[in-house]
Amino acid sequence: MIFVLNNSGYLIERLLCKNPGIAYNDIAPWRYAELPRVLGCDGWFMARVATCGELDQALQAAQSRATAAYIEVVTDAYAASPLALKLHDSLRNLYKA
Amino acid sequence: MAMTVIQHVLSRLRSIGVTDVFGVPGDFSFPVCDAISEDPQMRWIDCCNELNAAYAADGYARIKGFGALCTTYGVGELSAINAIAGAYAEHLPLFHLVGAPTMGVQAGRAVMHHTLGNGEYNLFQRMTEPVVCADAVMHPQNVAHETERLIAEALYHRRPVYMAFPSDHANQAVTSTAQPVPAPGSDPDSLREAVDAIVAAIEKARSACVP
Repeated sequence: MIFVLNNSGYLIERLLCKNPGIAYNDIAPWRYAELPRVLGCDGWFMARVATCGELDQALQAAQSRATAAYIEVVTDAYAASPLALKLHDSLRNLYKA
Repeated sequence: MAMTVIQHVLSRLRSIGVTDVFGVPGDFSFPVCDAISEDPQMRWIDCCNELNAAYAADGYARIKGFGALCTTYGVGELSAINAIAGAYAEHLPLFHLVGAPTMGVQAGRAVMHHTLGNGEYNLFQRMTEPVVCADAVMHPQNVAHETERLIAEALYHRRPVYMAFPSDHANQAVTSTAQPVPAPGSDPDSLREAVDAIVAAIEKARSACVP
């Protein structure tokens, strides 16, 4: 079972640069959930989920099948781990010698 | 107000006709990416990775005569180097703008991300040197002269050039001036003879390959 986390861009850069919303931090909105079909993985379970409810449903559906599963999990663009937030908070000292 | 180091380079590239820069952002290159994004006459074109960016610049150069790309230090520029070498072999002038760590970090040989952790900060520039015709690290004192030199070298040799921008210097005001380097002209008699010889060879030719 493969999970692809899609937060629409370069999160770590949003946390480190001057203007987090600047366009160069965005990634192209491709249909990532359909990649297995493009790559010839016939019959795989594919889903794109944006809520916990949708994720539960997708997991259930994936478990009931004998094939591999590929689930794109869409998160908030700014959902960050504690470590990433810590880097953002220590920006001032991050690039010092 | 005086232009910053990166603004100066962009304005000179614009004046020769570069209006688009392909690239992938990175933290060391934020000042370069920001300056490109904030320049109303320049377009930043985000690419999936640096190799794509460099090949996109290659294609652009085949149509427009020159191209530009922007990558970050180390990992970014190394990803692009394959296409830079291709552009060198194919005689395509590319301007490769690389955002680098601050001079203080470099001088202090600090252990930083995107480095090999051995304090050697000029390694990637040295790796690039065989596949560019000129290279420079830009700072407020040298940027005016080095920009003219690199533009002239790229256009004369029709080959890529490498410009590094330490992130502290990129946004400092330019403190020097320089004039564009005039392109060397051909001797008119030799040029005419060469053209006549080529035309004669083509006229005699029976196939697309002229010996």
